[in-house]
Parts: sequence; C-alpha cells; structure tokens
Amino acid sequence: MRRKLCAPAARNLHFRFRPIACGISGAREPPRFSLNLFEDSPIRSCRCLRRYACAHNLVGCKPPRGPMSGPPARSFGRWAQPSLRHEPISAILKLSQSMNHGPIIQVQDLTRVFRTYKKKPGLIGAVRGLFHREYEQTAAVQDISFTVEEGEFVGFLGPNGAGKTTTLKMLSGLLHPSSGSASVLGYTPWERPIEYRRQFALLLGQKNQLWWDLPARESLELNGRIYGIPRPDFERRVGELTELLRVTEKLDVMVRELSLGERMKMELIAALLHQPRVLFLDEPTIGLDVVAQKTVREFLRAYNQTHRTTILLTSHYMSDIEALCKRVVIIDKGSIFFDGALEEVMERYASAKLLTFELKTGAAPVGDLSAFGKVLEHNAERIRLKVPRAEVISVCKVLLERLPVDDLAIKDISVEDVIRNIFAGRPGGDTTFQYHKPPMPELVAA
Amino acid sequence: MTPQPSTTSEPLRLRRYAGLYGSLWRTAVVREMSFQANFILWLFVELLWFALQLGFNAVIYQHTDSIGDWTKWQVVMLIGASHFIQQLFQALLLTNCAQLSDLVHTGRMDFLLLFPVNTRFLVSARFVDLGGFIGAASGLAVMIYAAAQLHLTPTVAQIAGFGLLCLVSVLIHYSLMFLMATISFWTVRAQGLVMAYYNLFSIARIPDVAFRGATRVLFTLVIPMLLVASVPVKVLGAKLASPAEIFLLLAMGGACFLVSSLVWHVALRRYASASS
Amino acid sequence: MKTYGHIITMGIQNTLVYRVNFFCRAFFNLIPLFATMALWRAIYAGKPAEVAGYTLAQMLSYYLLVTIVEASTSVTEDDWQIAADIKDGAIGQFLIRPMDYLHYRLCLFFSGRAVYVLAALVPVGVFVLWQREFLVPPVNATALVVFLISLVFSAVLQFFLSYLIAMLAFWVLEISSFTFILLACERLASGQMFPLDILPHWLAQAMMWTPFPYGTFFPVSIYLGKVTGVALAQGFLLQSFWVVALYAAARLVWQRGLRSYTVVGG
Repeated sequence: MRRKLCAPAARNLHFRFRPIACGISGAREPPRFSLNLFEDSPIRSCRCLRRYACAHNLVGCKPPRGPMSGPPARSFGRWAQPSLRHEPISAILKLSQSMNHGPIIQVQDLTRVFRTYKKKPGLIGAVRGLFHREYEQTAAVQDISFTVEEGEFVGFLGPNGAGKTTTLKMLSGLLHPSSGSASVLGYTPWERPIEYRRQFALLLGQKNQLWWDLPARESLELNGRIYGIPRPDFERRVGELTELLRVTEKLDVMVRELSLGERMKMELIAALLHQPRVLFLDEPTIGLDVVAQKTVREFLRAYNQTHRTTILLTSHYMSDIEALCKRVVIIDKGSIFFDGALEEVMERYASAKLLTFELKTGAAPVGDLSAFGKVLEHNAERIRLKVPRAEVISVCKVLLERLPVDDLAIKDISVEDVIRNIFAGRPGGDTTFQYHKPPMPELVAA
Repeated sequence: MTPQPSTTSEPLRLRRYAGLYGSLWRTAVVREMSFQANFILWLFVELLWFALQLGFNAVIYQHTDSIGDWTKWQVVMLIGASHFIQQLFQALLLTNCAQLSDLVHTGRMDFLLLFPVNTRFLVSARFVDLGGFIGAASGLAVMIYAAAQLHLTPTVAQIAGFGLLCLVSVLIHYSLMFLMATISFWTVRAQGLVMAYYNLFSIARIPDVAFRGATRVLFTLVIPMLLVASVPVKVLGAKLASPAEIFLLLAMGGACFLVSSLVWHVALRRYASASS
Repeated sequence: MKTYGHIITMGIQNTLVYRVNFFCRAFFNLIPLFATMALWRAIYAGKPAEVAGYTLAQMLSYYLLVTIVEASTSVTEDDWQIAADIKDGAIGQFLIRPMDYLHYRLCLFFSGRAVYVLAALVPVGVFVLWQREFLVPPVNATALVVFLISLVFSAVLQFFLSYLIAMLAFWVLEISSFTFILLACERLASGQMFPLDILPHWLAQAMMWTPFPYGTFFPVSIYLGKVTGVALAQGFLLQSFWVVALYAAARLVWQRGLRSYTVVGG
C-alpha cells in the first residue's frame, strides 16, 4: 500500500530523493528524516513523504485524510508557513535531519569579568577620583558549562547578581565573554550573524522594547517588517497570539497606557512573531498580578509543547520554575551550583522534614530539645523541629511519649525554603534572599 | 551542530530595506502627529534662529560692502544653502544620532542589536522630523530670493549639480555627527552633543575667504565645513575657482563616511565587551 | 548659612560628573567664536578702521570678553534640571522641608558655575592666550573691579531668567522649545552675537529696556570703558532693578505653580 503511495510521490519530487522516498515505503530502516517538528500536522500519523509533500503543497494532491490536531486556525506550527512552499525539498530534509544531531545550545567554560569603578565619598574623594580611579574586577559569570537539547524548557534560578542575565545576554550576542565558548543553533552568538538573529528572541522582563508613544500594533508591525514576515502570516500570528494571551482588544492602545501585565504580553508577542527556535526569557513574569502570571505560564507551556521551541527561563518566582521547568540550573555568584531535575533538588537538599508538635495547655515546660533536631520554635504551645528524614520516625516516637502532645504534623520543606537554605548555607550566602511566592489564586477575590 | 538557515523567505535585500525604511517613516509620522503643539513651537524656534542669522548678516552689511569677494546677497545665499542642508539633515538623521547615547544608556540598544537588520541603519533611520522639511523649504525660499536679487539664471546642470552636492553635504553632516555620537557612547550624558554639532557647523555659514592658513586646512580637509555649503552655492552662482573643489567635496564625503563606519564598528565591539 | 555651604559643596561633587560635558561645551563654543572673529577680521580688512566706535582690537576683545563672561555667568544645567524636578515630583520634598527651593537652586547654580569655570579654564584660557594680541587691557583698575561686581549681578540675573522659564514646567510638558526661544533672545539682545552698538540707534535703545543686555553687554561695556560716570551708575541701577524684579517674578510664579501642582496632584 505504502509503495503505491510513494511511487508517484517519488516521480513528482526531485530525482535525488527517490531513494529516500522508496526507502520509507516498506524498508526496515527508519526514515531518514524525522517529523517531530511537525507535531500537530495532519501527518503525525503517517510518515510517508507523499503526505508530507501534500501538506506543504509541494505537489498537487487531495487534502490529506487523517486526524487533525485541532481546528486549523489554532494550529500555528512551523509547517504551516507558506514560505516553506518555496523551499526546495532538499533544504527541508536537511533541516529536519540536522535537528536530531547534537544539542541546540552548548556552553563551555563561559566567563565574563566586569570592571567596576569605586568612588570615594566626600569632596576630597571626588576630586581625587578625577586623577586616579580605583576599580575592581568582578566575575559575573565564572566558567559555566551546560548543554540544552532542542525543545527543552530550562529554568535558571539564583539570587540577584548571580549571573543569569549576563549568561542570557552572552547567548544573545549582546556581550562578549572574557573567555570560553558557546554555540547556539550552530552559531557563535557574539559574532551576531544575521541568520542567527532571525532565529532567536530575547525578552528582558525589566526593559521595554516596544515604542512608548505608539499603539502596540504599530510596534508589532514594525517588528514584522524587520523580520521579513509576509503580511498574511503576520496577521494570522498576531491574531492567534493575542487570542491566546487575551489581549486582542489592547492592540490599538498606546503602550504607555497599558498595564504592566498587558505590556509584558505584548512584548511576548513581539518576541514570538518570527517564530524563533530559541527563546531567552529574563524574568518575564516580574511585577505581574497572579492571573496574568498564570496566563503567561500556561501560554509558555503550551507554546513550548506545540512548537518545540527551546526556552531558557530566568525567574525569581519559584512557582514559574515549578510549573514550567523539569530541569533547573541553579546559579550562584557566577557558577553553576546544580544542574538537573527539580525533583533531584528536593531529594538532595531537602533531606529533612518539619515536625510541628502542638502541646496541651498548662503543660510543664520542657527542656532542651536540640538533640533531636534543629529547633525552629519552642514555646509553651508549640514546638517546631527540623529533623533529618531518616530520624523522623524515631524522634516522633520518643517525643510523643515524653511531651504532652495534643497534635502532630509532619510536613515536607517547601522547594522555596530548600533553595533559600542552599543559598544561605553557602559561604557568604545571601540569607536575605527571598523568593516571593504570590498568594494562591483561590485566596484572591474573583 | 551545524548552522542552519532559517526558514523565512528573504526578498531582495534593497527592497527589504526600502520597505523597512518606509515603515519607520510611517511610524515616525504617526508619532509626530500626536505632538502637534510641540511641532509648531519647534517650527517657530527654528525659523527664529534662521532669522537671527540673516539679521546678523544684514547688520554687518550695514557697515561694509563686501567680505572678501562675497557680496551681501551671495552671503545670504550661502546662509540659505547652509540652512537648507542642515534642515534636511535634521529632518532625516540628526535626532537619531543624538539619541544614540540615550539608546545605549537605557539599554534599548540591546534590542536593536537583536534584530536581523543592519544595526547602523536601524539606529540612523528610527525617527523622521517633519519640521525639518519645512525648515529646508524656508532655506530654499531664501536662496531663491537671494538668487533673484543677484539676477542669477542657473542652468539645469547647475541645479542638478547643486542638488547632488547637497546630498553629499548631508552625508558629510551625517558621518561627522554619527562619529561624534559614537564617541559619546562612553561619556555620561551626550546632552552637549547637539550643541556641539550646531557650534561646529556654524562655520559653514561663513564665507571661506575669512579663513587662512592652518585653520583653513583644518576646516577643508579634516572637518570640511568650508566645503559643505559653499561649494554647492558656488556651483549655482558660477563662482567656482576650479572644478577641483567639487572633487574635493566628493572625496571628503567618502572619507568622512569611511571613518565614521570604522569608528562605529570599533564602538560596537567595545560596547559588547564592556557593557553590563 | 552652614546649610547653604553644605549644599554648595554637595553641588560641586554632583556636578563634577559633568566635567567632561562642560569641557566639551566650552571647547565647542570656541569654534563659532573663532569663526566670528575671523569674519570680523575679514570685514575690517575690507576698509573701515572703526565700526560703530569699535576698533579691530576692541571688537575682538569684545568677543573674548563675552566668552569669559558667558563661562562665568550663563546657565547650563539648571534649567532642565529644575524642569525635571517639577515633572518628577521631586519638589515635593521641598514642600515638607524648611528649605526654600529658590535658594537651594541658587546655591546649586553657583556650584555649577564653579565647576564650569574650572572645566572651561583650560580651553578658554588657551584660546585667550592664543589671541592675546587682540585683548585690550581694562580701561583702569576701577573699571575692572566694577566689571567683576557686575559679573555677579549678571549671573544672578541670568539664573532668575532661566528659573522663570523652567517654571513653565508646571503647566507645559516640554519646556525645551521655550528654553531655545529664551536663548535666541539672549543671543541677540544680550550682545552675544555682536555689540549692541552696531545696531541702528533706535533698535539698540529698545533692547536696553529688556533685561537681556544686563547679562553680557553691560559688564563687557564697563570693561571696555564704553560706559562711564553717570551712565555707569544708571546702568547699575537698572541692573539691580532687573535682578530684584526677576526675583519677585520668580517667587510669584513659583507660588502660582505650586498651587496648580498641589491641586492637580503632581
């Protein structure tokens, strides 16, 4: 059956690729190209080249039969770009071939050192500063190395000044590293090749790239022009993205009059217009209200899954990382402290549990309990202990007998506290570092 | 992993940049139109300054008949031409050059660096100042009046030559201003930049006979202010000492542009190495 | 009194940041100066020995002196800073503290001038030295002393003028266009473009009714000995009058502005 389908396809296509076409049709080796790019394309169920060619209007044929991944308007997969229609099949094949080779981001021993000038106080100091300026070298990023595969959603966690933004800027080509190497999509970012610039996007949560005095639509149109997005594609993408982010009616409002959340969503749209393969997000949800954060998070998750866009996310909000990233990279003082799954963080560093004993009223005061674990709270009504996991049961047994306990609760330490403890525990650790977990949505009035 | 071309199509490069420039124009016009009162006020200010220059000239010629071999109306034509070129430059490019330092300090330069378009083009073409075109028209009007007073009848070739040389002059203005703006990457504020520009280019209004010796060489071969307005005017008024002056202006245009491109590349490289 | 001293010291520290800016400004201002001087030399080479009572040396000295006076008295940063204070709402601090904004800004103006003179010393000094053959000495010692006194008055006068324009920030979004109009008037009427004497008599007289000539033209005329005796006394009286009048105007507009500021809510 397949052989029949593929033969005419082979005839229509470029002579060179007949072997491949026939290779699919019943050969036992796997097809030489992979289609995981085209997740929601109608050819998900069939890997035949002919169906693929039909979907791309490369050959005239009937519309493909088979389950569609959803209403056509919503599916904005890369395959739907009509511009692909004009690419020779060879380029498309080559594209999808190389997609499976090697990680999409490779960073090796990246280092970045800054010079900061020190100013002495007072008038004398100021005058002296005219003639001799003292400066010190600080390494914002020190020998970091990591790799990211295509389609991964990686979270970067760390206190202020840890080097997250500096790393993202180096990968965007805005900064030259002091030493080390990196490769994104096969390009060296700081050489800023034009082809590279077409394929990635950077969103800085604290800076605004849209034009302040113009409606958001104008900024988006300009971006569309700059990236060379054909007009019908542009309209479609803007429509889809604004619908998903629920800002369709805000398109004609001046950017300076938008709320912070709406502005961030517009920035996100501007960054995604050209369908980048790699997306760098630097604190995208900072300052947003709870509902907006949720919308953005949902959107990012869905986008990452449909488009297989590789996303590097920096955030202060634990909830972002927890909700979106399976893999987390913890950076502190310019070096990677941990790189792996979020659960592993819990396993490795959340080695204790929280025990809360509610005591009966009028009980006699109890002596020193530090032998059982770290005492967090000790008063006539309540005792809270942090106890290593392995000892929880034995400590409970002993204390339940010894103390007049009214109620006992055993809790896991939250991820937030774990991370905070990691940073606090390190030499010179930042104990004031706070992850601000926003209140739960249920608590906010509808 | 080997680098891959992106999948978006790319129309002919020049057409693409022209289309982009058109969009930038449209954006700038839309923006200008929302600040009408300011627009009119600035128009008034520019005309006032132009009138001042002409007034100064009139007062001087109350007390003398000629400066070197330049008569009154010839100098008026010179002032008009200088104003015309300057306003054209101001309309198209000046604001952008002046804003360069701001872009760097606010961090917006980072965003411009991310676009797959020549960054210099984006930086230089962002804004259009429509009032400059009106100012240019006023300069042209004064020139025409002065030409009438001198009973000049320029040929088509002369007018075309004038037009072309004016464009070269605008290029020189742009190169020098951009050079200054790039250097101010490193200073705290570039507020004085526009002031510096006006000061430097005020020399273009002075008849070149006033300068001798070293300063004349400086302002002809290094910062060609003495060529910028006077050569086009001389072409129009058939006052050219020799055609070599035209070639000199063209050569200086090319040289200035080259130097400013070089400095721009160095500055960009330094920016990426130094910024935080 | 000590607070004002402290403000001036702090102001100097703050303004030191602008030293490169000031240097460039002073340096670039020399260029049109040089151009104008070259122009006048060309004019005098034409034929006249005297233009409106000025010999070549006097004419060129005039311009050199104007530069020196400008460096010591003109307002460079204060106008847009005041406007920015108003727009950002920073003046709210002064409403709750026992510190008068006008006096505060006056102190900062003086510290700014101090830094500017220091920064401009080198370029202007070098230029004046280079052109020193054209610099005529003051007519006599008293003239020099009176010149220096009138410099102080002139500085204060220019400050009040700029302050008044900056007050517009209470009502208008962008005052830079108004600042430029003021600058244009100053250039013409205060004698920075050319000595007011070379204007037709009626025009020069009309100008003398405005406060502008007392910024630059008046002090320079004292130095060159163009104004002596009764005319000098009269001139001084008028200069003082303008200083007081502008001070009063500044106070009035400030009150008005504050009223609208607090009503609107900043």
